Amino acid sequence: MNQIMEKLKELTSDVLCKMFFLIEEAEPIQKNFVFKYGVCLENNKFSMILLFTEKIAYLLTENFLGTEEISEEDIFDTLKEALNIIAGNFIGLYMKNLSDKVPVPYAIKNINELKTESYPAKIMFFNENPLKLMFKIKE
Amino acid sequence: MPYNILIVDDSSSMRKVLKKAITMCNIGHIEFIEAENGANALDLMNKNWIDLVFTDINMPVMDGFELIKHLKNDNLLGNTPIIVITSELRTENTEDFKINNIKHIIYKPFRPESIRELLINLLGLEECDESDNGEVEGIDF
Repeated sequence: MNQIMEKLKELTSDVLCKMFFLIEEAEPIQKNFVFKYGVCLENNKFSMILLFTEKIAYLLTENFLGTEEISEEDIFDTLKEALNIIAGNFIGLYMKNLSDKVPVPYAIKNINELKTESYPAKIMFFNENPLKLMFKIKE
Repeated sequence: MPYNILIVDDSSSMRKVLKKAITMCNIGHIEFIEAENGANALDLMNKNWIDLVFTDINMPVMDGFELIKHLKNDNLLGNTPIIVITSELRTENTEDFKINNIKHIIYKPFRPESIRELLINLLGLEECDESDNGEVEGIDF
């Protein structure tokens, strides 16, 4: 699973760099982060989740749309698009057995109620802010 | 001459980005029409003249493959050029693309230059003006 997560992390870094102009950084010293936004994509075989701090969600959306005037709807829409691109590439390249087509992503309404203790996860940093990447193959 | 381009994508952000990328291709005046799924697109195509369709594949209600099948079976709309924009890099889809005679595909993440080349080709445009070196300015993804 660790190899899969490494591949997913590399691919996420590549997509966020090419399409959202975010360069992955080393882990910063400060570690108290609050994830405000979350998007998920799943079917009966797998689940993929991305969590974002407010700052990284805004930055990603601003970069993608090329404007600083963004709404909450723009943010969720952009985060879902990011997850869709990452999952589409990831499944097509490495996990073809998991889905005939990439499921439609949805916004997570309440991050605090997420039960993700069993999810393999990676934290990535952009502009000193983290993005949490989780991927689980269901039993 | 103005062109009517239909953008079909359930993501309003992606539609905005595509409009921006197409506008920056500098191919003349473009009227954009937007649809959030295939069914919505078919409805709009029956009410408006469309020169070119950009469509996503993975959409709720009616996906891109279904939309293309409907269009291919329609005498009036069947010859409308279609560009598929997708992030699904799968060989099964490649087969679906062949079956549906889809020749123009842009994979996400993409570069605007690839859009420009296709637009020039599909709309039968000449490579434009002398100041234009074929580069798309200001955006690079």
